[in-house]
Amino acid sequence: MSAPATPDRRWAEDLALTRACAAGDEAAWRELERHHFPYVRAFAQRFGLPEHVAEEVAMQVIGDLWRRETVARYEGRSALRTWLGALVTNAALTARVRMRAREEREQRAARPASSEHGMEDAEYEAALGESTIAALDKLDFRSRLLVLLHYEQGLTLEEIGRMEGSSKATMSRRLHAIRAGLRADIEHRLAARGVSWDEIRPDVDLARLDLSLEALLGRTRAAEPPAGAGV
Amino acid sequence: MDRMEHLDPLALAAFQDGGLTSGERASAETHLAVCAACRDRLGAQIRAAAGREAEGDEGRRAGGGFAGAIRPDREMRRELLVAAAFGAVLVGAGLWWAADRAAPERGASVQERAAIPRETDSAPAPAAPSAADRELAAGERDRRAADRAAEPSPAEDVESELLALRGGARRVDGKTFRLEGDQWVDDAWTAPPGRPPLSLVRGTDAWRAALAERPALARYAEVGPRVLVVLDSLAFRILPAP
Repeated sequence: MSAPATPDRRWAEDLALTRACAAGDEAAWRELERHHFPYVRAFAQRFGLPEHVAEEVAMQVIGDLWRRETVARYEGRSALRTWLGALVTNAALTARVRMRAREEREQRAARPASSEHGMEDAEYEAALGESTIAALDKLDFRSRLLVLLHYEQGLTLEEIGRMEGSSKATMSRRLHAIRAGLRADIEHRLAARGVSWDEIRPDVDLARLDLSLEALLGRTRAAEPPAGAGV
Repeated sequence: MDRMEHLDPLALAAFQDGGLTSGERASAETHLAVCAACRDRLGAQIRAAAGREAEGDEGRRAGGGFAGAIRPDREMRRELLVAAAFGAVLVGAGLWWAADRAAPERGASVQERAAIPRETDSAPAPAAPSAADRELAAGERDRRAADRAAEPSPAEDVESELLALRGGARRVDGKTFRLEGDQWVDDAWTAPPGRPPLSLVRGTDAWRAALAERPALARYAEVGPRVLVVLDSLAFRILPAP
């Protein structure tokens, strides 16, 4: 999906700069290079990539920005730096997926088979995982996104609220209500599968649901294949 | 199978900054709720912009440990905090803390510490921040101001730096903890075969529940503001209260 162009006055200066660059204004290019390219380089260092890979990512984004048609794509609907950050993130995650795929190919042969968990644990974990995922799937998209951004992506309620113009307190209230609903749903699903209350209680207790969700979503995401990053 | 159309960087940036119309926003939310790849990109770009490491636990370990993922401007901040700690020894800890408490807000306190000369710091210092790092820090002042509330308190920060200078390792109840980045890591910690560490924020219901179940966590929590400890074959990441 691409956002249609409706510039926001908050970022009028950023838009004027990129439009001047797209029009071939040399002074504008110098300003872009001086004020924003260092940010791209520094931002690329934040993804835990080896230094030379991070530098390659930055150079790839900067090289792309030098093309007028790329810089002309900025529409002034976010801060220029947010857009640059999104470009860097895209390139960095793509680089990371490639790097990990290569590392995994190299390590696969040497990896020992794991048999550390008992069968009962594995069955319970599977029941808890499936019940939680099923309960999450039942949520409306907005609630599901809030849970996933918080527990899976590790964003703070303040960061999530900032994106939609809501306060941290509002997000907290929403999340509390969602968790209460999730707890009841998970408990019901687990009970239906014959899991005893003693087994359920520690993981669906509302105070500990945070831990369970974080552990489950973290594990679920870690087990997924690398996401396709090309857009 | 239908090919899923992902959100492009323009749309993700506009989503992050609140630049979408309500209809576009609803559409983006619907997509993000079901598309892990786009959620990963949004999460990574927001975490990176906020100065937190932009990858998960698995990647952070693969990438050379927590220290390798610390943002450059955080390094600069730590360096300044070390200088502040030594300055405090010279001029009197009481005066320093009184001044800190008198500051109208935490942001002002950090700025005051930044003004303390580094000449008093005889310990090996992290690499000096580059112009790019300073540029990054200046450009994100607003975002970081909002994030400061989630950072450890000045006391916790300085305490952590001082412990690091004393040798970088602490022993509690037979466990040895070593400072990696800003986190004390249990020597028993290895890459987990299953669950990642459970994050416990001090003062929360989850923290109290975990303490009730495993009282030993309280002793290990005293190692520092951020502690990664292995207990009963489970890993816990203990974090400071917001």
